[in-house]
Amino acid sequence: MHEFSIADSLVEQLRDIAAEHGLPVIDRVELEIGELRQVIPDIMQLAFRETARGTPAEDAEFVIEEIEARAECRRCQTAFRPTTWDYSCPDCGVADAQMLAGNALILKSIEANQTPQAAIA
Amino acid sequence: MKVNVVRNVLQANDLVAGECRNQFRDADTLAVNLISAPGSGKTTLLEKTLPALSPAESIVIVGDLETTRDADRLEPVAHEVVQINTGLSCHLYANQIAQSLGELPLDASEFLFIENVGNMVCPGEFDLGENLKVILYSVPEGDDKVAKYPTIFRVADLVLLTKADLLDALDFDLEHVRQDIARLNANVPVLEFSAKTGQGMDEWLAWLHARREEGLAQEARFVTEPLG
Repeated sequence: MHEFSIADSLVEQLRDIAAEHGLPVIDRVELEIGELRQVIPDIMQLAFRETARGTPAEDAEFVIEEIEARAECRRCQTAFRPTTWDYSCPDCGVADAQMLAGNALILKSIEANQTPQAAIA
Repeated sequence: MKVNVVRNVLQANDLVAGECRNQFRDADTLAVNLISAPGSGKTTLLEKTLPALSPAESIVIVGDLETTRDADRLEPVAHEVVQINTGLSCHLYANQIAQSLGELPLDASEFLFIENVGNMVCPGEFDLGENLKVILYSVPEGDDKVAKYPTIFRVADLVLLTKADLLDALDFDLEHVRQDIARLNANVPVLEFSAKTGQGMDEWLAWLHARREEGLAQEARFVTEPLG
């Protein structure tokens, strides 16, 4: 359900970006989601479609890139890929992971095909 | 035209959470976010904890979809309570905390407890500026919940195993649960607690006081992953 809260926040940012760059329409939105983030891509798509209605991003292609998790063990410095249910180090067995990637929720870029109009104040 | 944005999607929430965290630091108040499934005993925990923390003053922000029942229960024991009704939202947002702080005597309070909406998933995704996340996990929920809802246990600073007086009656496999939690985070303590018998109360209070004395209220503990 929190995908809708996230979509709200995202669409709000897209409105601001459209206004700032004078873009009547946003054609493509690229989002990065860490694989350990509790965000389900299909539900995120649905939430975006619902939330973006009536905004410049209404018909935008919505691209989600999942980012692989990476961690380093604080005890023995082994690098590994944790899963949602297991953060234990494959070498020493202790779950004391310094996360390096996998929790991101990043608006990476937007694209617009039309020429920008004068920026809306 | 392409615009490279590279911005945290929840930036608006995180900015407000950061402002809340600054307020907690300035007021020297320890902010504790209580997260659990509905019915695990968050309000009962507070009913027992707040009088026991006295003379230290505690304030409470409590979130539920509807009703003021929790606030009504906590009014007699808290310095002040604010009830937030979230309607359909399954978690609290930082701006709800920021608004509530305007109605609360933060400077005069040693502890702020935020009783989140009962939910084991969504509250973990939204920073409220709290210093600590305490997860309540009640024995009647069964011993498979860490495996089923792992993420919230991963970010916990403490797991309170509530209704621990029912451990034997319900054949709850505590060792199995401890192993599941240790696989997610070796550093999180698990405390058996019963509001009914008082089991674990002294350790819980000692833990709270210790965190405050460590000056966690002075620290920004929430670390977001670097962008990119």
